[in-house]
Amino acid sequence: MSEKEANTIEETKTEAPAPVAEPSVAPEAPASGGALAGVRLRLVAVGRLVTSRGRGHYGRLIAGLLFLVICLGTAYQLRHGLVFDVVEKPTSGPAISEFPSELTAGELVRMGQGALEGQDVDTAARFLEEARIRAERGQPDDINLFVDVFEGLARVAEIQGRPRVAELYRDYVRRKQAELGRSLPLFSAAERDFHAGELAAARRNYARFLLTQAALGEAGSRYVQRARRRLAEIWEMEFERKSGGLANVVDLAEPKEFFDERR
Amino acid sequence: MSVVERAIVVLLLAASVTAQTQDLSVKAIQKGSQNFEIDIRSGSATVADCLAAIASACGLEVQVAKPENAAILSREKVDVELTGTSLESLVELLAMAIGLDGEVELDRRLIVIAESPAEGDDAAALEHCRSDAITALIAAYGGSEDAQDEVELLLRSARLELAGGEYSQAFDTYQDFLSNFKKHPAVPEATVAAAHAAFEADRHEDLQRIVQEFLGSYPDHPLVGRCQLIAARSRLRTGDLGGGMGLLKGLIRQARERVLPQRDGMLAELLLAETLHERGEDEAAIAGLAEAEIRYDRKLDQDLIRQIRFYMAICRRATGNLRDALHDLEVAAFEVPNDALRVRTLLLYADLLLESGNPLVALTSTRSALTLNPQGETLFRARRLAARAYRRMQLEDEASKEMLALVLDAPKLLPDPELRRRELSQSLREIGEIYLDKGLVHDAVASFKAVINAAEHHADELDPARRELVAECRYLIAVAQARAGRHREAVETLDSITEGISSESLAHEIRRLKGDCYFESGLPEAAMRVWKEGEGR
Repeated sequence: MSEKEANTIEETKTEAPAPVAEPSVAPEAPASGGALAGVRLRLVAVGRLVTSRGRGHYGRLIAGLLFLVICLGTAYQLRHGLVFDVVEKPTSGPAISEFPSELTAGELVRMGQGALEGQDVDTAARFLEEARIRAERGQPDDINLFVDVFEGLARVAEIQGRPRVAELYRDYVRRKQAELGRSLPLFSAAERDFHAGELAAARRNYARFLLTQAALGEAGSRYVQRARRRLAEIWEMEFERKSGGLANVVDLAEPKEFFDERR
Repeated sequence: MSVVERAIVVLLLAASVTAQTQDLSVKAIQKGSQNFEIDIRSGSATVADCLAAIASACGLEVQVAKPENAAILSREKVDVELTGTSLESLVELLAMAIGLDGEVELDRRLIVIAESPAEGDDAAALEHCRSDAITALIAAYGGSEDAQDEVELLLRSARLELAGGEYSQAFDTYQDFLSNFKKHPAVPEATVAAAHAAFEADRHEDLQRIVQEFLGSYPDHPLVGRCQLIAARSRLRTGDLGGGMGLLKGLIRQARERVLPQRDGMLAELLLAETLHERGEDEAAIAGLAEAEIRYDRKLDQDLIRQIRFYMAICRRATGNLRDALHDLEVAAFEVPNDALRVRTLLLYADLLLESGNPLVALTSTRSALTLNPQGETLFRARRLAARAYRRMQLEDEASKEMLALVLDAPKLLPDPELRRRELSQSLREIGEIYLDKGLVHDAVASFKAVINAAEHHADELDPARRELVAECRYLIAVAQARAGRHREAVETLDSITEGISSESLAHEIRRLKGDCYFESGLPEAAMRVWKEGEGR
């Protein structure tokens, strides 16, 4: 097992909440000090190796150039490298899971989102992780499903106080969305504003996103729908905030004053 | 808004033309007389350019409310790619994308861009958010084939309509939900909300119908009591006192047997007592309230139970039992659950103290009320009570100062026009009385005439209370004229009082004054006849 793989597994054990052995996102160096040290160690080893093999100036030059190329390659990988390493991907046999096998990945995501709404972070994490596994097995091309799964996992990581991991998940979400259309980052920005309670900014970004809806394909229609729903929600929230909260309809139906002397 | 402040882009072109600039293409097709369908594509054009091209394609003008808004339009760029979108929604989205508000006024051929009213905290901002929320809900959920989407749309819109006082519309929306989703778990709550909306919209037949449907389908639901309560209020409002009171008594019985929640029973007790009080059956109201106070669990629904003493005081006052009324108010001042009721308690306490000849303590009570709420109606009522207290203490100058101040401030203190008119009439009459006490006959007559003019200005809707006020003012004018030695005029004024004499004491005063005037005018026989007429009755 390579050092990187070892780090990946270590990251899975310490960071990801999934109960299954299959690793989730394997954030590289920045997410873990051990991983960064491993990369550094590997570079030094390669450097020594290539320089020791060279003979004379010409040989050292070639070795140096080779070292430089490896360095640049590694740097590029680090810069853009949210790597989804699948350590062991089972190819056959039933999944050992605590969830009924009839549940689809989409249903699991919705359950996870429901648990998140109820602030039950651990349960949400378990649902979402299972959803991720089933999505990888059954619907590997469903971009929207993956976006939902990783957006949910990002929120879990955020609540659990792991902002770096959350950001890595979000980075993946953004890149997946970019596959759908150039304006989807606007949608993501609006969602971030919305969850941060910045309603005016969220409203502006949802509107900007909706202005480009014809550029989105069929897969983008659900974002259009979600943006419209969020806009409705934002106006409702603004109204509630300004009016001091909408009364429960049953309380509203209570008579409020008796023996009104003004009558 | 001055013309200078408006940046107006005027571009008049026929509809259905295509405007094409470097990165911007707009095609507008007129759909009927009231809408356009737009295809638009722009690669990072400014919003001003987009709007100008849209206006050009539709034959409209763009009107921008303020120069700073025009600057935002020229500065902010947007990507737009939409097909077959309505003009209204496109303009709204473009404006929203830069934090402004956009509207199309086709009758004025204008696209109006202004600051979003939602940014403020006033009533206009609230209303803007509410109406935009309903529009956004329709855009988000309308036309969906998913039943859950339809439920979301109906229930959330209805709730917003209810909150905005659009009761009839809210009822229709709830009705749509109740007809189409008879087995939905939200039916009980929606029925209560629909009944409330129907009550406020005075759609009493609809109200009784949906309540009956609910009772038929959910006879044992915990919200049955709440529905019956609204049904009872509806009957009372439509004048079916027997039916309304019968329903209330049934509710009270079921609550006492713990079949229905205590809160519904308590509310029914208070409504029944109020109805009895309005019918003049104050002893029965007091008995009911006294029983309610001890029968219900004080740990529950404290907010209602702690109001009882205040209502008992109102009923006791109506029976003339000032001593017990004052005692109840002293208890209520500490017990009532909120400041609004405490203010009402303190002001009623001051009023009763004035009646029982204790103006100094009354004045203190008005001051206490003002510390809790020194504005609006409370300030108006407290000042009037203070003026009466000063008058009782024979401090006419202080009294007239208070009265004049409250008359001048009435427009801002009393926003409800009907209440303002009524209260102003009362106040003017009291000012007249103060002038009369001070011997300022001319000023007194002027005040009384102002009251009569105000009341008769709405002659079509002269209710008994207003007729009574007019009669009283005419009597007071006659008093002023008699004091000034203008006895003949006084008699003419008294003769003009043909209606509104509801109390025997006023009728007696009128006859006595008329006799006095005849006597002073050297007509003792006529005076004797009038005086005897009075005695004969």
